[in-house]
Amino acid sequence: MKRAIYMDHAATAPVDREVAEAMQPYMTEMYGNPSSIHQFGRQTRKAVDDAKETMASAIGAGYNELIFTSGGTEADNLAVFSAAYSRRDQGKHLITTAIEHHAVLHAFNHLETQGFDVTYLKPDEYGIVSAKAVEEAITAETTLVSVMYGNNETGMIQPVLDIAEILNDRGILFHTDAVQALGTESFDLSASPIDYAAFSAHKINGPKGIGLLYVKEGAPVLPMFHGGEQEKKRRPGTENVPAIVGFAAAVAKVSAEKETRKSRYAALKEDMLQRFSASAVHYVVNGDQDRSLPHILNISFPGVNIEALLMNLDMDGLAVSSGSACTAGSVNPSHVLTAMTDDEAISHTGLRISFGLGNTNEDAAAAAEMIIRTVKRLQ
Amino acid sequence: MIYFDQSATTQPYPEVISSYSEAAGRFFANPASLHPLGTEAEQVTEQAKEKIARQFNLENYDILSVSGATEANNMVLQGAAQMYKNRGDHIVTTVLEHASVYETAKRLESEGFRVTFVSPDDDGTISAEKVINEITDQTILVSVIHVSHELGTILPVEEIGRKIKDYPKARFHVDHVQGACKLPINIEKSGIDYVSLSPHKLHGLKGSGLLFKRKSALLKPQMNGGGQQGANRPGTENTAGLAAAAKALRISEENRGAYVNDIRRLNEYLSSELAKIPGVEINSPENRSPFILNVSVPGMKAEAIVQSLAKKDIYISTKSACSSNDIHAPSRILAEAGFEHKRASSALRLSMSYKNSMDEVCEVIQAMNRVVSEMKEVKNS
Repeated sequence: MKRAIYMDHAATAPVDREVAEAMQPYMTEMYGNPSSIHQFGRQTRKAVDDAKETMASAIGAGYNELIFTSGGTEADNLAVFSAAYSRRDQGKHLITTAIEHHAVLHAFNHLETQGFDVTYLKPDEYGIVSAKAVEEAITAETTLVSVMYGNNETGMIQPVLDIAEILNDRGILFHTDAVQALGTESFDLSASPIDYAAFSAHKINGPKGIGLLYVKEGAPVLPMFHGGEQEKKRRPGTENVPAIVGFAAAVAKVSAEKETRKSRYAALKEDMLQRFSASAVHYVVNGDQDRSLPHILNISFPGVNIEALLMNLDMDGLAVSSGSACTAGSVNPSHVLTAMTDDEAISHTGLRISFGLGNTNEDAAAAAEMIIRTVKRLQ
Repeated sequence: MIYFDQSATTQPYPEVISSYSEAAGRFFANPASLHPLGTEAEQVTEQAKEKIARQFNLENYDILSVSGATEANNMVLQGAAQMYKNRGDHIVTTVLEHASVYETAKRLESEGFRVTFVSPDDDGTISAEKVINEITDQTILVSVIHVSHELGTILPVEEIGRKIKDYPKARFHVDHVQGACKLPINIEKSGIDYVSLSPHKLHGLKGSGLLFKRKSALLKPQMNGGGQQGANRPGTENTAGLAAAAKALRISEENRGAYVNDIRRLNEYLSSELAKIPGVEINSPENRSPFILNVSVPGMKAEAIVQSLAKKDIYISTKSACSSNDIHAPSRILAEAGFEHKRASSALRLSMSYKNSMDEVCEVIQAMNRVVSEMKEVKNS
């Protein structure tokens, strides 16, 4: 069997070998509970502290501004619920976008059942929600706005700093789901007007089961869980030491290789786009590639049954996706593309290709040819 | 090196680490992805859950993978309280609970629920009747720790479960963290609705907890997101963590069969010999887990004893690791269980696993003997 090509890194990415090696000693020899007062505990406490320092310097945050969680979903939930509930007496109007990951979208849906009024902003045709649209939606009752940094389906980078600036002047809290952006974008969070930012390790070749929430000094945190005194009581439970160490190793590697990765993914994307353009297939690129995360490419093939396309690509050994993994189980059309266009020929036929470590020029060429061949047959 | 802090966390079995590494490498895909790699990861996830269900004889339960027992306990207390609040506002639990149940119950109290915290009797135990007697027609949840993580006290959760069946409104949760694969209970037959487990206390990995939920017992999810795990718990499933958890539970169960009687003898010997040291008092009741022994040396600083033992390469703890931030504060659990201040503030927990031996127990006894008498001399001089 020929080697399968994995281009679904926005769903999850394999654990990098160096990351796995960094984790290993914290499973075998250094297994203490970081809360234990003996040397086993002190050893792993130091590992957790060091990992946090690494994360803090990588995203321009203070050590005390970081909380480890079980993943991106928990980080998003913690931010959204903390902000909404703690400012409840100041207002019950919240703003987010129609293109958020379900970890944010469904948290806001839940808040609607708790008496909050939520505005879901639609993006423009390129999948971008403008700062102006956010500004216009603000009311005297608005306490929280959540806009993702880079969309997980289209890769479109949202103007989060402009938005945060507007909100900062009005004392409105701002959260951004930055899960997809960690691998290629640069952050200087403490200096920015962003109050909360959510991250996840397994999208950047770290382990599953570990996430991170940045909370600006002074921004409210209402713990979702109660128990021990870990994370200053903001997130109790024995720290997942090996995963935390792995997350930091993955982040350190990203920091060192960010520019190379960016240009490599951009080149892979460019190569695939050129091949599509040179082919006779009918396609529409979703979004504006000048404002996109380099590792995500979303293309619709009008007239193609997306299920059939995916199944054929599967058989040829190409792993890509339609929609995000969390919605993939259900084969509903992408809520992101649906928010961008009324044209079902486009919103129902989107294919997400997402690059990562290990993808070569040959992979991109082979993947593009595979897609073109199959689409031609199906169109 | 003698590690007698096995109730805080344990060294993972090599096979567990291999399972984790293999699954993280081969089955890295997102189990929710539709492509074959995703389907494969989903199968590995489901197989691990099936193995766990079989091991615990669970037929009508969901096996939920969560980040740890703290999350599992919170999911049950908050989730059941929110789900069943229109049936009643009363919760019964005990003072022996882990902080993740106790603090969450306190939180629910502040939100308007009424919570009864049952205390042990003079013999240190809590009878099933004592718990059952607190149930009223407003009781929606009873949450009982199976084995107290600090004292090792065994609570009669099977008997409580059988009796709770007479109260159809009351759901029953067992924090099984210190009992799983050590003192087996019949979960399904005893009418237990929710069970929390933590593999890292059983030579598994940190960051992967389990919640067994009877299918007919509901919980309001505490997180919102993707539709994973029947929408009970969103977030990308940690396939490798779950595979490692299933492995840790299986090996621990095998070890239980082979070694639990040995551990019992170690604990009894440890207890009888430590009791002979002047000034040492045994806090754990007779009916305790063979894996835990709690003692006090009233008048002496517990952390000083812990540090002196550490110099001899022996590692024990004062109380639950999760509450160790203020190391000088007395154990909340011992204080509420009725121990006087001097005793509650000088408590030491020695906790063992299948990996500990009689030689180690003898060394710990000798070391304790020396440390306690040395400290007494310093005090008296």
